[in-house]
Amino acid sequence: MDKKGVVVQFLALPFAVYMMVIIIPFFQSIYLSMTDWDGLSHFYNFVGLRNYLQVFVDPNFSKALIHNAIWVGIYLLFPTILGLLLAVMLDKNIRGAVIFKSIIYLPMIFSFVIVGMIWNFIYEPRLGILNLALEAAGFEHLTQAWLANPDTALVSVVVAAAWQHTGLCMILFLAGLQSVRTDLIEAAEIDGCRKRQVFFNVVLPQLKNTTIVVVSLTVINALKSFDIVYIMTRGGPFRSSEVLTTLMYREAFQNYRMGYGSAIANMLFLIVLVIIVIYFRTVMRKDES
Amino acid sequence: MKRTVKAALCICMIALLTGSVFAAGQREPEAQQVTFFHYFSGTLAGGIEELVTEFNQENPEYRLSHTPLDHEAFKTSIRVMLTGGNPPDLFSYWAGAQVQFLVDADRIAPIDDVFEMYELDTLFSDVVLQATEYDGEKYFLPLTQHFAAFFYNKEVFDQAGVTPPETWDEFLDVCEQLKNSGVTPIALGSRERWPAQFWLDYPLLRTAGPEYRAALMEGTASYTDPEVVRAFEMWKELVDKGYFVANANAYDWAEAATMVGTGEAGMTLMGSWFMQLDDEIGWEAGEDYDFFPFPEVDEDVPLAAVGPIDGVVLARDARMPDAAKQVLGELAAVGPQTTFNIGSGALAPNLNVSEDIYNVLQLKVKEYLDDVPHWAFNYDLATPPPVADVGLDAFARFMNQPDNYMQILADTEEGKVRALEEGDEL
Repeated sequence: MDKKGVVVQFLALPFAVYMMVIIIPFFQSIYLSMTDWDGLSHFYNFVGLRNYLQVFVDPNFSKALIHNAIWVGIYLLFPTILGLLLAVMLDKNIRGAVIFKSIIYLPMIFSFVIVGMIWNFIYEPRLGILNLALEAAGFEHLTQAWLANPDTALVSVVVAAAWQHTGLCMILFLAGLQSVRTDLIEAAEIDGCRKRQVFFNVVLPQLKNTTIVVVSLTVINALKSFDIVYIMTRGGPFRSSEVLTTLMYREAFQNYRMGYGSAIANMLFLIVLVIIVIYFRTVMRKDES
Repeated sequence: MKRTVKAALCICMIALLTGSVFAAGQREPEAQQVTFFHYFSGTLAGGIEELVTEFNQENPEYRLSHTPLDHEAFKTSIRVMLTGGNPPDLFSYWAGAQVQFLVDADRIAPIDDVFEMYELDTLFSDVVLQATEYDGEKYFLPLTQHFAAFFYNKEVFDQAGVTPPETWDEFLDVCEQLKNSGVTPIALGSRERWPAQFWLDYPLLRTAGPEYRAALMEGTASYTDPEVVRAFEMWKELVDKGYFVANANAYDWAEAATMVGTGEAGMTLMGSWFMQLDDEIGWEAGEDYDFFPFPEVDEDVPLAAVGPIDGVVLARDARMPDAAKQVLGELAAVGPQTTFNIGSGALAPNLNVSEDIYNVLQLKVKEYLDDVPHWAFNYDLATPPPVADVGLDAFARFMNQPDNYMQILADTEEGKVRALEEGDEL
């Protein structure tokens, strides 16, 4: 058998599986989003783009979209920057670096469900460690029901997710730092650059590819977050921490609107696609210039 | 030598074949497996395990194979199985709007023949029988009937020098005295939203009556009607006076129940599944805690009791429909209904179940339900699911923004109209 035949044979099974679990359901979801299926009935009607048009006038969708944007913003700001700082600090041969790395990376081995449960305990209004710590520090006026207050619920969930995500960012940046050319750093130092200048002008530009990976993963993780929201607040109280994924679940499985839920899922896919395409094109254009 | 081996092998083969044939001839007919998915799990498991074991022992011709799932996992799984054409033969469901939805979607099969064959009409009360019928046909076999009421800590009440109230004014007095004695009068854990629903159900039923409430649930009355506004104002009065535990949306129903158990709060308005926490809290029904029905508000309005009736339905695409129907008939009998409801806090729908299985509180519940003229399903089982979703959000929001109640009601009405319009378009 020629080489091509072997390749086809090896790819046939994974491709068939990929078709069955990804490609076909993807097109099925597009079709369902153009129907009024309730998720149970045998029959349904084709409604064209009605579900998509409804998405634009649904206040719950826009609310969830804003929450996702806040999530992306916080996720891009804190875990990414913190992960980078920690990676730079722990990249040096300091005592106990391995232990610190392990501790910071540890949350990554937990599933979001476990992370959510841990933080549920932390945020518990009466016995949670956060309120107890605030009380002990004399900030009693700041104590509150973090997950039951609509003003703090979303941020509280994002902080819990960010706690886990920081470890991933740190590990990726640490890997990136291994490929940073030390001769360039030494040359910059000999030329009299300060540490800050070395970091921003020599180290950071060399971490560009790692940053692309980190930012992409961060945006995708922020937009697809579901389990931690579901475990911690279920999108509540009264939709104050609702994100697109929980809205999709609520509409499709609780409110018997599978067609509309599918439309939300596809909108989410489009949003992620647009963000990633814009980001990659910008980065590649900069590369070319 | 080869010949000998071949001959020996042939003899062995013949012996094996004939042996298996004879064995097959002697074997008892294989039990018909009936699959049963349900949400009777965790703290709400009741006696389901015992029911299945006992059923299989007493009915060797069937093998009832059950799969318990938690509520949320159940909701998703059962829908996937139903639409995938691979449902269990039987599954548990909530009587009311939820079963109606399955009937409308043609996903469950009528079981009138089971009712006829086993003469089930004679086994259940009128209230329960109403819950079995949808669009003129029987679809639902009741397994358990719960009832929502105030469960209170007897010691806390004694220490505050109060007794269970019978009227709304007395209720307000009790709350005030509990508060003065340093106890939060009412525990509510509305994190999952549904525990707050009884706070609309009862004030509305006690002031506007069952007929108006039914109209609201069907969507013909408005959430901005003075009747609903009054019910919310009653609720708001309690919130404003600080009778509710702080941050109700931070806790679930079991945490609220535990607050009553520890004496942190005086009472909680909850379903009779409250009694399933006896072991966890470490107290005894009737001895350490008791219940009283929601007090009368307007004496001209007939009393109504609120609660869910859980039961079993037969999937339209069941693989073993005949065997499943036999199982349904058996599940309605005294034995299984007794086993399932022991220790669950619920009442067995079968009227022939001996009262000996009930604790002192269940007997009181039974006595009360025998007298009360009306029965209503709780909010999320009485109104279509998309509308219930809007309403449940409103209740949680109210606990956070009680002063905003008029806006909340306006938003709820708007959400209801939108949900019903979308439903009509289907």
